[in-house]
Amino acid sequence: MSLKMVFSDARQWRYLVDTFSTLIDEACFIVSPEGVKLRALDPSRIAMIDFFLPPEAFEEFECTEETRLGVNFDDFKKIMRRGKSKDRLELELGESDRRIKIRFLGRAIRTFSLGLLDLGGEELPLPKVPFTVRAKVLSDTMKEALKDAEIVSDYVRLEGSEDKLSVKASSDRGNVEVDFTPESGSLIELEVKEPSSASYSLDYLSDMMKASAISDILTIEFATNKPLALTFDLPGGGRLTFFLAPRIES
Amino acid sequence: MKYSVLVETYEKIESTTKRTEMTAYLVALLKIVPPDIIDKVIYLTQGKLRPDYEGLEFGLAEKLAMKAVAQAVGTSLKDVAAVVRKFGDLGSAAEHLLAHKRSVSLFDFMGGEMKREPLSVERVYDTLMKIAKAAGEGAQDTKVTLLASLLRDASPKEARYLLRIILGKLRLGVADMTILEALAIAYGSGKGSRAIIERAYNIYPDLGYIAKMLASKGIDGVKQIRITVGVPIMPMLAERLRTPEEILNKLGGKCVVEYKYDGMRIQAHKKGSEVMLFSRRLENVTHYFPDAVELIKRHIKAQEAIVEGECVAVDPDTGELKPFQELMHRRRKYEVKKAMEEYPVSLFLFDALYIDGEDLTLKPYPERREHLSKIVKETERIRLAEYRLVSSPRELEEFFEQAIADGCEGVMCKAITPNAIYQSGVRGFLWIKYKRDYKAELADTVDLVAVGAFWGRGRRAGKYGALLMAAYDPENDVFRTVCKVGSGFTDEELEQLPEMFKPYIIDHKHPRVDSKMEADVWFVPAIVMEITGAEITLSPLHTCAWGSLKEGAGLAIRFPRFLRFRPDKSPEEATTVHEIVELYKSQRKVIAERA
Repeated sequence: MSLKMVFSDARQWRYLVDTFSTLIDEACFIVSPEGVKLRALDPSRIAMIDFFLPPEAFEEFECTEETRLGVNFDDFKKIMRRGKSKDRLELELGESDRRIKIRFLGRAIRTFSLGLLDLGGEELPLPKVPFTVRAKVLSDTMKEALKDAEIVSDYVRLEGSEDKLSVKASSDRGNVEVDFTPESGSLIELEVKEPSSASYSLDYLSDMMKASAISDILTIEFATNKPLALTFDLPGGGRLTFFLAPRIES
Repeated sequence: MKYSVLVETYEKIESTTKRTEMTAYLVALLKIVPPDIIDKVIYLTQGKLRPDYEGLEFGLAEKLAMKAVAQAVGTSLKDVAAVVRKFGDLGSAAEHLLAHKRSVSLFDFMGGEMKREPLSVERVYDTLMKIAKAAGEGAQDTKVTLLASLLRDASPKEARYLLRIILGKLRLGVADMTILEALAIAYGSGKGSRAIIERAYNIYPDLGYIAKMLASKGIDGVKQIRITVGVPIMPMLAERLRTPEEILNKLGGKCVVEYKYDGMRIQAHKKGSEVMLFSRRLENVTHYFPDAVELIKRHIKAQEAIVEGECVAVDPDTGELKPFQELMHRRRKYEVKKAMEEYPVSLFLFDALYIDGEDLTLKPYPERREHLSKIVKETERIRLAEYRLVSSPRELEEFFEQAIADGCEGVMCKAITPNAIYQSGVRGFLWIKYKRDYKAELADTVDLVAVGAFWGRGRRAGKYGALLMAAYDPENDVFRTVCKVGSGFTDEELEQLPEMFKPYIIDHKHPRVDSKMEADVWFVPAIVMEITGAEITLSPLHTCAWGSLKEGAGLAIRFPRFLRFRPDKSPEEATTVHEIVELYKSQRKVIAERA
């Protein structure tokens, strides 16, 4: 088996890998003729990453059979941070290689190689959640709303009603409320089957929001006391979804 | 293997104060542990991941451990803090919290396809190891997340023990000797194996490693364990006698007398250009003494060597030796360089245990000394300890006086007979110390362990009025009380005592403490103090040497006074019950002679 992938903007991968590394230590990319997939749980099983990038997202994509690339994200991140703007990124695995070559194609050709880990494991199922709220918002605005909430709490409460999506936080330090409405311009779509609300950890949410660097629009889905799904649309029909377990108030 | 099996054993061990029962519970556990993880089980039972001399630490402060509990339970740090205040410690608080509440994970939404696996010993050990090794950017967060991931899958009881390990407070009351005993019973063959295992432990004090050898290769595997550069050896210890006559008698009429410098005993390991220094408690102290490391590196002419010597503070201006207290300025983590300039050290070497592949411990002392002199390139800063061959009490006394005049605390008298081997981990009469304090009121000062305290009154209200002090009984591995000491402390020291003992306070008498008195506060035996006193008398109150001299009486020290703390001594290195008995007998002889 051998594979080669060329991506036009190395920095997009850098942001992706940076985001992944805040949640997981090590995980497997599964590369097949259908594209690149990664599905992994963070060690505390509060959060999950579900990532997919089709061959169309790449400048060049050669893969004949399914290949597992187990990586340590700490190491991978260090290499990816060396990517400069305007660099192209090439990932290459030769026949029977134990290391993947990571190449930045820019003003010089810089090649790194990263040892692969033998990570087994079956494919994880996705959480089964009947979402009752689905909202499309501008990633930036959501990122700022979460930063607002961090001022008073470690948790945030999301509330979806017919005409707005609210981000609320409260503690004895004070209250914060940020409303997303169609009029304000930051709420692009809103579907509410029934008014719902749930609380989530801000620590995890802010880690996940690092992915906003690669996608302007974000889809939020949740239901009362159920997990949250945050989906970023990626170039070429790719998609990055994070799931996050709720905090159940006692 | 399930971690819960270990926890069940721990609970049993904690339910008894009898050493034989503790040993039996350990044996039962060891017999069912798969050989490939026996080292992990041993380390976890000791409350650590690797032998102490490797210096591996979790680096997770209580506040961060609380954050992990908060994450696992799904509550706020503030709530956890409130529960900790109620229960007194984080372990019990976590147990309570997990029994009542647990945060939701994504598994709860996967329709039963994924479920919690009970914690395995392997997972516990490996995760704790990852916590200890996490370093660099974001390490604190990683440690918290890893601990939370364990706690999330832990039963409430398991969580309590995990937190005690993380915070360095497992304290089952199981000493190394108890584990050795249990290993010998579980894996050994008869009585002889205990001695073999103990010898291996003395030259390679890593119980996990010994257990693994024993479990995988049997007692023959343990016999193969050799002195290894980088692994500290249990130091040979000296007995004590009161007069040059007694000493010479014991050593066969002649001996070598060596200066006993007032410093810190150091075991130096050299491997090529790499040097490691260990204290007499086998703590890795390399980073405190970069100057000593440099001296060993440059002046020991061997590829590989293990040598012993005394590390002494010297006056940088005059080169004069300074007392032990000054050296303590060097035991610091920060500003090591500054301390090194203010309090430089010299090394006085007195033994060689291993040189370039050859184990010297079974060679007689004069031969070891000969080997040592060949590999040391002496300078002002590193040289052999002053010594002299003596064959009369007068010569010994003269050399002793010269040693005192040179700033030493006394002399070491060493046998030069062919059987004068290096008795690793043994206190015997091949080495006998003769110290200045022998001429004080009590024939000698004693080093005792604080096991409890009594609240003070009046001016000392709210502080400790007296500490309950104990001697060590190595046969039974317990501490037996000899006196209550309340005098000799400065006001400042008195003020600091409660804070100093805070980490060792427990709500019951420690299983290794034997006391007839009910202290107001009980301690884990940990802090050693040098105590002087007027005389040793029979006492119905103290348990030291109970019934061995007179029925219904033990030995007590009258008018005890605190002299100083001995942070360089472990509780097991305190004066033994046997030594107190010897001191008692020798003073009776003095009184008889006077009469």
